[in-house]
Amino acid sequence: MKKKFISALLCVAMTASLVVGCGSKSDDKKESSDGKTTLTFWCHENEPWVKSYKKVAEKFEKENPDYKVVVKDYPYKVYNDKIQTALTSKTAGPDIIAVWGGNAPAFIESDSLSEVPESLAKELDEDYLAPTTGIYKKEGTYYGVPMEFNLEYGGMIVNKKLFDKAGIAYPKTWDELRSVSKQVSKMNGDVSEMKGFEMIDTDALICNYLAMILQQGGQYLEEDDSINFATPEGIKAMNEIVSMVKDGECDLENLTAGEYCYNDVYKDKGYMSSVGSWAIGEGTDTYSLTYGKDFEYVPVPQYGEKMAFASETGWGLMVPKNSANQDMAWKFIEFFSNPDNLVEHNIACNQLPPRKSLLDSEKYKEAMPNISFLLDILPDGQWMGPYNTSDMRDIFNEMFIDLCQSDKTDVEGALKEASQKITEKCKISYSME
Amino acid sequence: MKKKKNVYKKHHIVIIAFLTVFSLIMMYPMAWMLMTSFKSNADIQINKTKFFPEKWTIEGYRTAFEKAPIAQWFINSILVVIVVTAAVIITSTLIGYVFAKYEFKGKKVLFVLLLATMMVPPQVTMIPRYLMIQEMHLFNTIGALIVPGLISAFSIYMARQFIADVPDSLCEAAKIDGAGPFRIYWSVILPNIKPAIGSIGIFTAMMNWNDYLNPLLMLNDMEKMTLPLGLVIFDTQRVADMSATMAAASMMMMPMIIIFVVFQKQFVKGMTMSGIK
Amino acid sequence: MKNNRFVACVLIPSVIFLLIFAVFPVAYGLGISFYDYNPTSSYNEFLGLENYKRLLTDEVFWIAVKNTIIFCVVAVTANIVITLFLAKIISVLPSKGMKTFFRTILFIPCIAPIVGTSMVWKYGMVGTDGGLLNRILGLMGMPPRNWFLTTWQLLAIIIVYTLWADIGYNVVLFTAGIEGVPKEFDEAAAIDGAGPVRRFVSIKLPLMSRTFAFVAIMTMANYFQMFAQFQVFAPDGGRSNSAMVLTNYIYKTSFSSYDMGYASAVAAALFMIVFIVAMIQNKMMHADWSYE
Repeated sequence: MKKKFISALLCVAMTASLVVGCGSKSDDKKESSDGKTTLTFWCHENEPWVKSYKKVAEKFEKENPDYKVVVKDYPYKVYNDKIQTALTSKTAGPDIIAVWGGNAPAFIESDSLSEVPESLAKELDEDYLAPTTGIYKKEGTYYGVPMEFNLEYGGMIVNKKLFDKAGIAYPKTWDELRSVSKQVSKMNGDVSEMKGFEMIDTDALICNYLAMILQQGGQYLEEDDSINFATPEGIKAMNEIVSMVKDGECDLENLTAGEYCYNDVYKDKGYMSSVGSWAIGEGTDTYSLTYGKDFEYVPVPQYGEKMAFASETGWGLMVPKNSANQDMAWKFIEFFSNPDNLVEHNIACNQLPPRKSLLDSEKYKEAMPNISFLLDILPDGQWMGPYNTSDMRDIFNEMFIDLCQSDKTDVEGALKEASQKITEKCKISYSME
Repeated sequence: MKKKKNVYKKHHIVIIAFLTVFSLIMMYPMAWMLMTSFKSNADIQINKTKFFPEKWTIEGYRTAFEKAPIAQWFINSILVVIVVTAAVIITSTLIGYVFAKYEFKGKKVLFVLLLATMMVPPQVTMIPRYLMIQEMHLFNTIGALIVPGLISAFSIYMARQFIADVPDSLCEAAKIDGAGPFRIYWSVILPNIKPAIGSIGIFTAMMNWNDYLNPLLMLNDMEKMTLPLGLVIFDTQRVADMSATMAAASMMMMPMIIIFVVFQKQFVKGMTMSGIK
Repeated sequence: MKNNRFVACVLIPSVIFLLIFAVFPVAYGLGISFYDYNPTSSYNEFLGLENYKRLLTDEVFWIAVKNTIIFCVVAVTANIVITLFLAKIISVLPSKGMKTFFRTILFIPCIAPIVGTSMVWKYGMVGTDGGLLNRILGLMGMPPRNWFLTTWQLLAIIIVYTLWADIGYNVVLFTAGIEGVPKEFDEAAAIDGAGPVRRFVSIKLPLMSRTFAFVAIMTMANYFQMFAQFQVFAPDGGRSNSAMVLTNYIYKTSFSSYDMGYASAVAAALFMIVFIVAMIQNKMMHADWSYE
């Protein structure tokens, strides 16, 4: 009897340790069975992007036969938590992490990242557009390398089928845009049954708003880098956006559900959605739609007199300090950032190139005739500023919902309060230079 | 037959009618989930008010299996539940036995301490446990879910209450026959608390099967997740695909519900034991 | 019985285990709450009571405290009233098969994981586009609403969901409790002319006080820990944090903002609240939770 019991206990203990053992072993192991060293590359889930990462990895493996690059992807919603845990953890860590620039400060702030090697840092200074590199710098040192120029402003996905059916042409001016939007949209209570022009989701709202301020010749960044939305231009732009909701051209559902507006356009529930060019890939891959037949990507009509907008870097690559293969990881990033490879990656992901030398790349223009109109406006962009843009969006979007929901008409007061809150709470705690 | 009919009085009919309507309302969300899982996404979009699918399809299930390691999540969940439940049954009855039947110094203090640990909400110790699991190199392994669960204060408390009711005379008799403490535990205590073991087992199994917080904190990789966490991740990935999301949800819930309906007598008995004790 | 060697064999490893996994984390958490703690940094500044001072002025924290208490009080009260009522009318039914049938149906939502069912609710019941709630509004001739934009309504929806997901368990416990009361008491009172409601409140309830205390305390303890449905319905706390509860706030502060020191201070506050509520309940219920 006693034996039986002890053996049962042992059995449980063994299964437990077996399970535990298996798990940790496979994580610690860096050398695979064929003697190659493995580099683990983390990214978020996005079909075309992951495909492209894997392609670059394959190319790298060909040139460096002793190395294997394993690409692992995570849903975006949990991705930042995963990076955070990976940086904390002593095992199971990735060697290269693709990160959204807006989230990078949280990681750069801690000292868990490896510095960008000198040769690469020199290229960042010389050949990269300023808005892309700003966020990756701490006290004069770079901790990440941008892969793209992120532009959430400038282009919109349009539902060609709906436009054709209604017999309307794509709007060319801001006034046309608003009137088309009003004409086609249909509202029922809180909920839009058909949306006209959409820019109200977590990502796009603030980018469009800032562009609208800057295009009027206004500014939201003060001399000391503090934020002030409560300028005449800022108030005018905000009233314009709030009126889109109040006129029933779109609703707040994407903001409350944390989803992107372009989904509506792909689902035939909206006509136009302002979004970065990367969303083209979502339409062709995730929704299996055809560019040119089901949808197209066209310029968003300018709101003000001159072209201007603000941009917050873009996705970049970092190497954590706890990586066992830091040097090789940087070699991989150098390989990745090489203009020839980078341009292919940008093309594959519908991204805009971050390097000045790629702005007039024939290869890019040829491959991306639909979005090359954006290359011309890239030099007009300014960096969004030394802010944690995710937290900034939280505050900004909450203020916006309040403005739309309540009959509060004190737009100036709301903007003032939000500016102050953002300046206080979201400014990056370390200095860039 | 005739006799039975007479038992039903007017107020019984009212109660039955009320309970039937109430049950239908209670079942609606589950039924909606099942029905949606058999619809195509176009069907969901167009026929918003229809309850039954226009055309039954298993497309959602196919997508769910293709796009997510559901089988692996199942295996992980089952592994955690089996190992933890087996361990908890052994540890809680053994420790409960010591508290119920043995005298020793500091018993009172230890027992109160044990009860106190029950009161701490898991969110309070969430951060330290997460940091500790990393230190122990259990992070992102299924062991992170198993190891901390091996002993449960609540189960010890329940086991102790039941074992206290086993007459001392039985233990004494066994002792006189020359049985050691393990022997008494194995052949006197355990056979006498079988219902309690069932109750503890059901509790532990359900808690671990449904746990969301711990997997959320401790697991990174898709292949290592358990069902509840997997489902949430799956949902965020496939916003546009309601059919597949509901198919995944159905696959996660239906097995447990079927097991429950089949064994509901044992379940209910186990549940009640814990409550009226 | 006495056998110190055996007791030591069993208890020493168990106590060590519980010290590591149950007691130490509490102390560890308390320790972290005095630091500006971010595990990725090699240096974490000692702040003393700074995090606790911040609690006092943190608006979101107090909203979360308020919501947590509202959620627990409303949901627990409603739960107990509804489940007692259901248990009572089920126990009146003459056929055993019927009793089992209804109990089983009511229990089914308890079997399913909270994350799963709350997701089903999020889309099927509350969803803006074709959710049941909006369809009922439509039948009444009212326009649909975006429920995730609402304030107290969203919290109310989460409470209703929680009741749906959780009443089966207490119904089962209470039916057993009611059936545990000997019939003779009830019959004697009936002869004395007491009506059914009166009989239930003044005879059955006191006689099943043990079940009642157990259910009330466990439900309360359980509801303070509710987390998954808040994660699903209002991961960011809903509009103006109207559905933010402490558990979600701790999670959000520690794992989205990486402010683990401050999150630990919030956790300490949650612990204090749970402790105080347990003490009050203990007094009120005269429940026998102590040793013997």
